[in-house]
Amino acid sequence: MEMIREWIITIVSVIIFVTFVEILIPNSNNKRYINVVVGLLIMIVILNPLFYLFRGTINFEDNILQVSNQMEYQTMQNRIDHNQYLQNEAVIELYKTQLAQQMQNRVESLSDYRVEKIDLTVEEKDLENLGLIHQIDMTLKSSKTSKTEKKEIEPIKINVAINKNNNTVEADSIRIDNEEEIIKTDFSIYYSLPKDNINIYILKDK
Amino acid sequence: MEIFQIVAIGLIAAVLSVLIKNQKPEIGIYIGLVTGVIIFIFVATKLQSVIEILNQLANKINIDDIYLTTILKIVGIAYIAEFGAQVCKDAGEGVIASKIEFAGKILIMVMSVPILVSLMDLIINIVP
Repeated sequence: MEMIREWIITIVSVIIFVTFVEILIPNSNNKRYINVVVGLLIMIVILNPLFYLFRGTINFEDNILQVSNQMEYQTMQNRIDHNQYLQNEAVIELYKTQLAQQMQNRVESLSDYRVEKIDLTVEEKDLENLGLIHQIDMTLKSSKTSKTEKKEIEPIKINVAINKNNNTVEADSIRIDNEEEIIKTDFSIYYSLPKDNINIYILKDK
Repeated sequence: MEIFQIVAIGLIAAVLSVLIKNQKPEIGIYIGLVTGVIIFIFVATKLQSVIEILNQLANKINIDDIYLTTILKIVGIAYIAEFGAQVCKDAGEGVIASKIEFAGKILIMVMSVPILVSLMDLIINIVP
């Protein structure tokens, strides 16, 4: 019963969402294509619980990310093959930016942290394995802006801040292990590279 | 009411453009372009807030975030492509406009392929 209730709520809210989106769509030829995608989405929403009944859970988000990742990779290789860009570096830079963007989305959906910076080391010389990820260095920051705003209102907190001068010391980057571990495991499976090559630094702000 | 400001900008630009068209037609195009950009920026901030609200709504629903963000991205691509194509059309470059629309279509297709693939996966898995 609970499941059916949730199912109906999801369908109704997705349809409301879609109606809203439909208002936003510009009156152009693109409208048709957007409607197709929206139709696919609604089909997924309707079919999802059926799938749950038959086969148990599956993570579609991973699937989608994997497909888009693969497409990104393919695009980069095609671009190099066709010599559309004379300099490989430009292509690799573009690839890195897009990968970093994808990773950022992934980290932000996995944890409460906000991504400050992601550095990637990818294979650039060997044409066979071009684009393989060697190392990931990422700097994260906790994203609790709403809470800090509330804290500023309390006068006691401000007094403490004045008395203690070690705030700057705590602003240094430190390593923690709990959420870091989750992200690391996820990334090492997803991008198939050893855990030792993923470094995560978390900035603590006071 | 922002609509008054936008309409005022539009009317002034239209009058200016008509006035100047006889002497220098190319400046009319510039005026149209700049007006388009101004109005777009004006409304873009509003649109941004609407999209943020939609995003919040989407977070409450029990559905993967990625679908809704994909849809919103597609809407964004459609908007920007439409804007660029309109500007080109106004400048009399219908060919470039159609190329922009073509690029927009392809990018929308690229965005929608992952959704399509996951739907196919779903259906193939459900059918015994």
